[in-house]
Amino acid sequence: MKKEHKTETAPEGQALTPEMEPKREKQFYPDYLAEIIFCALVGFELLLIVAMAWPPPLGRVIDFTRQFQPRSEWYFLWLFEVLLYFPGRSAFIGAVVFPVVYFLLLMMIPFIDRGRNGRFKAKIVAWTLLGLFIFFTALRVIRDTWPNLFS
Amino acid sequence: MGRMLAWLDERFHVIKPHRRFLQRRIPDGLNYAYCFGGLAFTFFLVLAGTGLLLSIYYIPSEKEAYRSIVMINETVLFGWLIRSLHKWAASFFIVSIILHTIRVFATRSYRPPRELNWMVGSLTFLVAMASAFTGYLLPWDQRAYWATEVGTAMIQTIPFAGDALMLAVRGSNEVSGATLIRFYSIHVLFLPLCMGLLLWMHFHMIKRQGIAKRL
Repeated sequence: MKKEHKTETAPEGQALTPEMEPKREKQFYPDYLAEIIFCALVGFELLLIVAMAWPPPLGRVIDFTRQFQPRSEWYFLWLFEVLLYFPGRSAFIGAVVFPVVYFLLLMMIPFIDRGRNGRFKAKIVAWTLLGLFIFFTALRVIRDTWPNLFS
Repeated sequence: MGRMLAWLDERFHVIKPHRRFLQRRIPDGLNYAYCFGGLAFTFFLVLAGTGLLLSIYYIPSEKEAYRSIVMINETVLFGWLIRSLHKWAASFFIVSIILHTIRVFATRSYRPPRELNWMVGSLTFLVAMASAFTGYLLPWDQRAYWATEVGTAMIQTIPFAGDALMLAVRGSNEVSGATLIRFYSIHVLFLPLCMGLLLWMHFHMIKRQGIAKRL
């Protein structure tokens, strides 16, 4: 695709220095697209290195006779941790109400940021959401690493 | 390039509508914190590509699922790498989405008129988590089985409808072969379709509204 560059010719006998070039507006193509592709390539290379260095091991065959303490993926650990605080019939709160409210709050952030103190309220909600995620994930990791710490 | 493009343009008039898209202005002051959305999309493409390759050898049945994973890992050429890429890309994807969300919040880019795009983005995150959950069962090993058993048991805690809903998710009273096929279908058909649609909306809205200016 041909693009119309606005080019100025330098005065006779003078080289065109970078400062003299007219400032062109940054466009999606090719400026931004090049940056995106650069990021994508770096990201993919990182992924490739990690994937080659640490391939996931094969799990064991299912054994129905033995109860097994499952470990979830790291991004579910916090939800497993929250479950512990709602035993018995209150499990509904930890298992369903908490994640649903969490998600609705996240989705509603643009509508929380309204009015005079909107940004402040939105910041409180956002920090709380992020904090809960990090806090419970950390607790779960600690619990799994040192199982006897809390008992 | 030129002649082929001219040939296409003669027939479909592709240049004019794309020129506005390709030459649209990008606001000043963007930095590399703005790359996480693109990164997330990159990892989504990796997930889709490796997922397609895995589906060639994977068999979603109670008897053969585990064996097919062993085969992918040990016999298939570069099978271990494709599986590893798929597994790791899922984590990279989630991390990128979280960082992207933090960036959008920090620059306050969710403000009107972009509320809807924030909401679509949140749904994308939800679909990503659902994909991770359903995909976790597919290797059909000890860890996958019990994690899904615990995960789906949460649905049972819903008052009144809990039992019926759990039955709908599991396809039987326990996690079984029926659950495996159900999760496989959701993982490779339903959720990627949802994701594709959501991402199309996400990108289309950016195209229409442009990238939010720095604060």
